Amino acid sequence: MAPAEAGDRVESQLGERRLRLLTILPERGRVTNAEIRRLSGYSRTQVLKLMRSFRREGLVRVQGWGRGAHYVPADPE
Amino acid sequence: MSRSIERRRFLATAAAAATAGTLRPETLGGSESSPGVAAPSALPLQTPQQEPPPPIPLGNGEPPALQFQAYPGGTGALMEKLWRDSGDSPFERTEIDIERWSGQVPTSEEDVAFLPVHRLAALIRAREITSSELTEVYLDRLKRLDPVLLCAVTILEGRAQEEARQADLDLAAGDWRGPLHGIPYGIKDLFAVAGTRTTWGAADFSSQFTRFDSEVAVRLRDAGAVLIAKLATGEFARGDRWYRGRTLNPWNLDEGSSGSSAGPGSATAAACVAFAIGTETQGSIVSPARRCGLTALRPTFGRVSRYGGMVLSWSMDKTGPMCRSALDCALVFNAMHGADEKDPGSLTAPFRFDPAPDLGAMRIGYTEDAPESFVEALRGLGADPQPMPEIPSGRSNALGVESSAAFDFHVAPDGELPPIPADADEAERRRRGRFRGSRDIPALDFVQSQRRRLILMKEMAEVMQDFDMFVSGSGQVGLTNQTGHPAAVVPYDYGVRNPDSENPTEMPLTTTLIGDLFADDRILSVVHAFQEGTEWHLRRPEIG
Repeated sequence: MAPAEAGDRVESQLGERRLRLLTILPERGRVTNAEIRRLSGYSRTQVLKLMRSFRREGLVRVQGWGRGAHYVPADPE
Repeated sequence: MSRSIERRRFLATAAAAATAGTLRPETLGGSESSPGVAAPSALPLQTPQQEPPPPIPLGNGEPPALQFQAYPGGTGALMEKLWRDSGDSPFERTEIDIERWSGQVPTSEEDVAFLPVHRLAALIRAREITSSELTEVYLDRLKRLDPVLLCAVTILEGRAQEEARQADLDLAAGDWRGPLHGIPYGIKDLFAVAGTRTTWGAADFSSQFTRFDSEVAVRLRDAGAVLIAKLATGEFARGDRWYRGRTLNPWNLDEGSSGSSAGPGSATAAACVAFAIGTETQGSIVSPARRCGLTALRPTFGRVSRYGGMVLSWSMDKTGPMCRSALDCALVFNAMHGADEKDPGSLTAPFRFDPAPDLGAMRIGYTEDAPESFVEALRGLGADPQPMPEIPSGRSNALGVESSAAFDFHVAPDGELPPIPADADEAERRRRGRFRGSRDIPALDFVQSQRRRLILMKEMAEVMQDFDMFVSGSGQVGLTNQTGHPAAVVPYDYGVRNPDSENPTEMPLTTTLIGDLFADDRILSVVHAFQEGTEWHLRRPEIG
């Protein structure tokens, strides 16, 4: 296998962060945008984008409003 | 008055009104006219003198006239394609060979219980063990572990012993029905089995008995399998909490098994059954299979009959096997797939499991969150995995609207919604409000959403034109349950799944392999090829 290019490494890190967050959510039950930033190193905008994709995938739902908003894992149906 | 006579009167009334040119909703017992608003006097109604009959009452199961078809071109085009691509026998069921038993028979009951189905089948066929002996092994484990795991709703001891005895008699008479002959299994308690409780995980239905069998139970019985338990489902097929409590993960008793196929996941991982049948509408096979470290198949929409199962969504519900190997999934799926007149959403497509697939000929993709070690292992098996292009995203309101319709009989039995008690906490409000939120969605919005869903399906079909399957870390459960694509869950490593937890769990780590529509056989063949050289799927929890 050829050595990974810089772009591959970035993609891999993104994937690992996504997976880690998907693991953390069911464990913690609920996480806020700030907690995800602390865990992932993402910016607020990156977290919002990521969580939007998780919501589209049916993996999380949002509870609360404004600063009280937090993410909880969606119960599979 | 019988319902058929009521229907005839309804049709006669409609026909008479239509002939007279006065067909109106109110003539048909509809509700489009507002109370207190008189019909225009210029168009006098010529209705018969009798009262219009009330609408036909509906329970949970009656399917709608509109049926979902996973193939974007429609089932007709799919059938023609199958005939064209699959030779002259696309609907013929192909047998899957199992290796004969050789060598020592395990002496420990635990070692026997954790054997995959294809090895148990070899033991039974070689008459090294009887179905009755095997059934006792699993019944003992269920009775011992269920108080801890809460994985079973009803243990069918007497019935299972009788079925196992019959399986032994049949085998002694030379009638071996195939690899599932005499194999003990459990079924999610959404499925009706005559003479047993079918609770749907809900206290309100904890005494519900049915006089008929679900189609999947009939097909597995015909294949010789022995039903030993109705296994837990999250309440009304959501999550892992049901009326007796929470079903637990055998790998970590501090957490739930996930759901809603909670019992099938937990019981199979703890070897309380040889395999189990689960269902998924949006994540309910994939999620508990991943949480419990199993190998499972969520089939392409429509491939397994749902008749006799509780309905959440006619356009999204799917039935699939939860096992301890891909070969086991193939054996179970092979026994139960195919069209059923009683499930108008079902169809038959070829299922040709290949125990030695040429991975070099498979077009395999991977997303950015795919585990590198699994992708690398596929390369080692001769595959050439390629990064996936952007995968479309989109949702529809199908699950909300359809589940509200399916449970209208329960939520609003007299057409009226009882209020939710003001003192109910958030969890209780959410639980009670579950089937209420989509009742007020206009029919127009539902139809428009389903039109957009077909556009999404076509976009996904375009992406999949260059791929037979792709590896996805997240599993894409939202998307693929809208489009009907199949997914296999596969343990690919062993390690700590939850390093941030107070109680980190060492267990098999899993990923998903998402197939093109009707490529259920190909994804299971690839997972089987991977499992031939690995043992992650054979690890056991310490629950004993």
